[in-house]
Amino acid sequence: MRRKKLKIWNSILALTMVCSIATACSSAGKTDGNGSAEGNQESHLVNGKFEPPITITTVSPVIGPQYKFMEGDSLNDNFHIRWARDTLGINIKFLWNVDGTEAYQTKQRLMLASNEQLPDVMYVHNNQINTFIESGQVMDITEAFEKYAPERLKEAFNKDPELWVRVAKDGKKYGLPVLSDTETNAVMFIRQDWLDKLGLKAPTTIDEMEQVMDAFTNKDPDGNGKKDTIGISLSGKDKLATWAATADFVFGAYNQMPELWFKAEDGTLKYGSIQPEVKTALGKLADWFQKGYLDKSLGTLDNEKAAESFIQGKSGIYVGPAYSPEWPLSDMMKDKTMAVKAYPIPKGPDGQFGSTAAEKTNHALMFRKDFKHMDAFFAYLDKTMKPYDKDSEFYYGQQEGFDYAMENGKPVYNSDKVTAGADPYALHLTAFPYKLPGTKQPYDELLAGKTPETPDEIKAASLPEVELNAFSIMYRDKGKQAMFNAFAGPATPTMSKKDELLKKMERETFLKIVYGEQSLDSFDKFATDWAKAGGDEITKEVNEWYKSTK
Amino acid sequence: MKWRRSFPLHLLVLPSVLFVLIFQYIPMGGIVIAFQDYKPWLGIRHSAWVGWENFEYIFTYPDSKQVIVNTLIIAFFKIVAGMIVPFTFALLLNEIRLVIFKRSVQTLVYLPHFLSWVILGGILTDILSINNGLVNQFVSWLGFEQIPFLQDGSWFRFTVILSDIWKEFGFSTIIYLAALTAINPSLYEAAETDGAGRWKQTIHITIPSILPIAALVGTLALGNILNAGFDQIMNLYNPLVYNKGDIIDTFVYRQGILGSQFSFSTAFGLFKSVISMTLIVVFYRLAYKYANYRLF
Amino acid sequence: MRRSFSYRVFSVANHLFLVLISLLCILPLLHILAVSLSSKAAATANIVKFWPVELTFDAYRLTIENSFFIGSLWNSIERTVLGTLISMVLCITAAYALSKENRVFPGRTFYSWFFIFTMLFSAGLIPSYLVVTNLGIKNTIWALVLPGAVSVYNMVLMLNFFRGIPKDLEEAAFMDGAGHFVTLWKVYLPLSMPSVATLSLFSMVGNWNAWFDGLIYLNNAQDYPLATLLQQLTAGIDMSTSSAVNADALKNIAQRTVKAAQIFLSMIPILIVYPFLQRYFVQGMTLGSVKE
Repeated sequence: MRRKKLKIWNSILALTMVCSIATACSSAGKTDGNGSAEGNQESHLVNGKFEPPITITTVSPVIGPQYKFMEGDSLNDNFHIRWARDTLGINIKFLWNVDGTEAYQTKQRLMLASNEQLPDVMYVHNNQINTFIESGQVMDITEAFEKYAPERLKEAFNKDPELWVRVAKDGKKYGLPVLSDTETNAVMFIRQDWLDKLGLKAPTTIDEMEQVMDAFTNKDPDGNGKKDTIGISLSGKDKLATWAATADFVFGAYNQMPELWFKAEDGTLKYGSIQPEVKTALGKLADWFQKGYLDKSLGTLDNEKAAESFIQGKSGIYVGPAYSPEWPLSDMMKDKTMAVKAYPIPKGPDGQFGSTAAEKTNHALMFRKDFKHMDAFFAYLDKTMKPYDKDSEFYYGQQEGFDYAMENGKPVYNSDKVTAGADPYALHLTAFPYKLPGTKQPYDELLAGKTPETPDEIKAASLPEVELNAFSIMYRDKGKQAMFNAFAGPATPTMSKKDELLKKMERETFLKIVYGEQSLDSFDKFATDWAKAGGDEITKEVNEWYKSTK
Repeated sequence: MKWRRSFPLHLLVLPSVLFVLIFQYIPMGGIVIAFQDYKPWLGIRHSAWVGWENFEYIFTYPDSKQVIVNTLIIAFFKIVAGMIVPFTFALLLNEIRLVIFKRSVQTLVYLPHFLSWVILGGILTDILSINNGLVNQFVSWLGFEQIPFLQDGSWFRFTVILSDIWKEFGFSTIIYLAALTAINPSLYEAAETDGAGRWKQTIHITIPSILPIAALVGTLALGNILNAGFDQIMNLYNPLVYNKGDIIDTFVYRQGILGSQFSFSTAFGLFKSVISMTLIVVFYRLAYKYANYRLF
Repeated sequence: MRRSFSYRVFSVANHLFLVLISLLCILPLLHILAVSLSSKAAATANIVKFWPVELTFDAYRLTIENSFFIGSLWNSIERTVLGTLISMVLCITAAYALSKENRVFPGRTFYSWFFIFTMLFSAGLIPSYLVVTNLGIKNTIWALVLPGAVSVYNMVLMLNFFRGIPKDLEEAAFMDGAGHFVTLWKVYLPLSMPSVATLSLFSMVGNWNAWFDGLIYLNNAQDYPLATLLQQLTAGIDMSTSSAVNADALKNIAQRTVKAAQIFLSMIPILIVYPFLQRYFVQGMTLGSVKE
């Protein structure tokens, strides 16, 4: 029975092989331009268009079944794909698509493990980049970049060669880093109505903040006669210096950040978590916990859950990214009984402030080793890359009726004619908008009362005022506030062996100090333990990496 | 002669054997990566052999002992309670005469099985919260101090075990209910005429009749002695309870974040399998030796 | 029937206890149901308890309106029916053979351990993926149905149930000249309906709830079973790893109400089938079994 089965398989296999050879032969002579020409046919730019057309395959980490296409469109036949085909002679083809980082990375790994052909262009998260470089399946694009990349892109990279750090190995560049807007820098959101009621001003320093939190906790700001409010919403389930409902600003106020490597005065890289400034910040947090300014269950709350107390009106302060009014605070913005205002995060005793910044590049586009058409990719990028100038066909948006509609000669972004809840950039080969740095931000002028004119302004004007404020603050302060991780290399050998242990030790100690389960002085023991348990070796390796990048 | 008689029986297991061969035993070859420094793009054939290095790493790793002990404790109580509770519950349900009542109860208790830990994690965090959680409000009302269910190691273990039992006991009861239906009613009738009451009937007929199934379910559950429930812990734990709540699977997961450590996790998996297998073999032997019963 | 006083006390307590336990099991579900019927704002603020706040059916509409919903429902049904059928045939045939004693079926113990071994040892995802890929069944329903078709757990339970069937029945069948196949079909199966129903239920639930295999073996969303579709609909953005957050994507983050609604939508079919199977294993004892 089994043998018979095998026989069937063999014959099917043989049959398909014969078929594919036959079709390959017969189509070799044809130039009907159905994309099969790739590889055995030279394609050339004719008036800005590739002839015969080129097929570029890719996969998507952001298009799941929830994605709403325009009427009649589908994954492999939509306005963007038609546009690329008609104007550039490029056929974009999605091999598969999922939604979610974990699902995407699993499928990627399986592709690699089963020796399937990789897609021509592929989105790769930072933590996977090294795996792909080591696999030898992705292309060194050093030359192609010099030859084909649009000038403004080259300029951006020349200005800041550090951008290459994630994809560089032995002087070669194995992918195109995608520049991220540092939109994650924290802004403080505070209940303005509570402040007004208690006759307080928004805090600008940690000391002032303590007074405000004390009033929020003890003076019944919501006026319900019960002592059921807290000063600030914090999340501790993962780590304290996180991205929403974060305590990272407390560490930043003392000019140090846990879990980040920083450049010390002696020119070497050092690990933030073991510095005395972190101890001071932890002391503050422990004090706050003890005084009741914090949620007694903050250790069990993830970011989203921690924000709940602020949304419910049980807490007066929330610190998080500037886009928070859209998520997770969106529904709170519509509630007229609560007035929220955005302020810069408070400063420490030395006038210092800081928060964790996202890496300058948070993922990269990588290319299949034998992909022949980097010229086509860069030609495509030249057209689709942000910012768009007035001549660009994407100036108003990606597609009329999808992400914008025209009314009286002006674009509108939230009308019935716009497909709600679909991100047009997901259809791009780049999966996310590819943005060059240094775009002018519209927020300040809008807040000053300017009538929105450009598409960016019109789009921004539709945001809640709190968010405009938050963005304005964030862009103004991010230069001074953003604290970057100075180590951006692949995990070092000791790191991949010991990082789990060290992080666990760190997070456990920190949270227990805040809870008062361990004394503040146990921090010192942690710092020495950390060094002994592998931290010293990691520091050495990190510095070796650092030297190699210079 | 003997062969001819048993031939149809071989034929009956053949399809299952083939399936298992193709979908279980062929992939099982991949276990060798526990002895390699496996790189997915190199495959098994070209990855470097490292012998016992992965195992040495596991057993010299400072936290291994802690997570193994935590796993054993949590899993042990889950297995024991996971046997006793459904068994008892089936017996209690068996005493209900009103069929509609019996079926309703049975349906309701079976529902939690269908909720994922992601959802339940959120709900438990809410109701067990030390501030205004439903359960702690009740505890305060009784006059006790609020209980740190999810923020203290020992309470965390208790919470994890109890909530797991709560979620699964209804579903596990089904198997005993099926076993109860297989009891020959004439046994009860005979007991009835002998003047035995319900207690005696339960002790002398009902329990012995479903004991073999219980023994089997228990033995198979031993295969999970090193599985304390990844999804559940993952959604409930936090740094405060690492010391008593961190288990093998969550540890392997965190270890894998920095890189895909295939060999490491396969090695730990193999260790788990060997321990589970040993336990099952021991119990199988014991059952055969002392009860003269082959569990499977 | 004689009922002692103590038994009557016990009986009352028992009823009360069971009602209490049932309540404890149903409350979280009521909460989720209430969330699914509440407004988005109330759910985000987490102020919904057991009664909907600002009643709305938006969450259900949003899910059902998804263009893949009906298709995935069908895929799930197909998968569950096919998977359960194959699984039960394999389970029953093998369990019948394994329920024989060693002298009747030499090699029985070897087979048993051969199966049990696979319960404990596995090499993980990659090798299984390679097998499925090499068989050429990727992107077909067979990739979901075949790899898990043999459930050793079910097989071993079935084996034990079969053992409970009186030997004289089997011998009588042999006397009449019936072979193993006929005996299995005519004697064992009819007597084992409770266990067949139970194990079918296990198999169905397993097939219905499985989502991960759909995600890795299927490349097209139109082939997804419901569980995979729902998992993908609620997956959302992992904020901590991807800082490439853009405003358009933010609006797509799955809402709690939708997640709650999806729990119920995915449970409904299982709940519909349940009473039909339940008949077989929950019944008054006096109804007893078909035996005798």
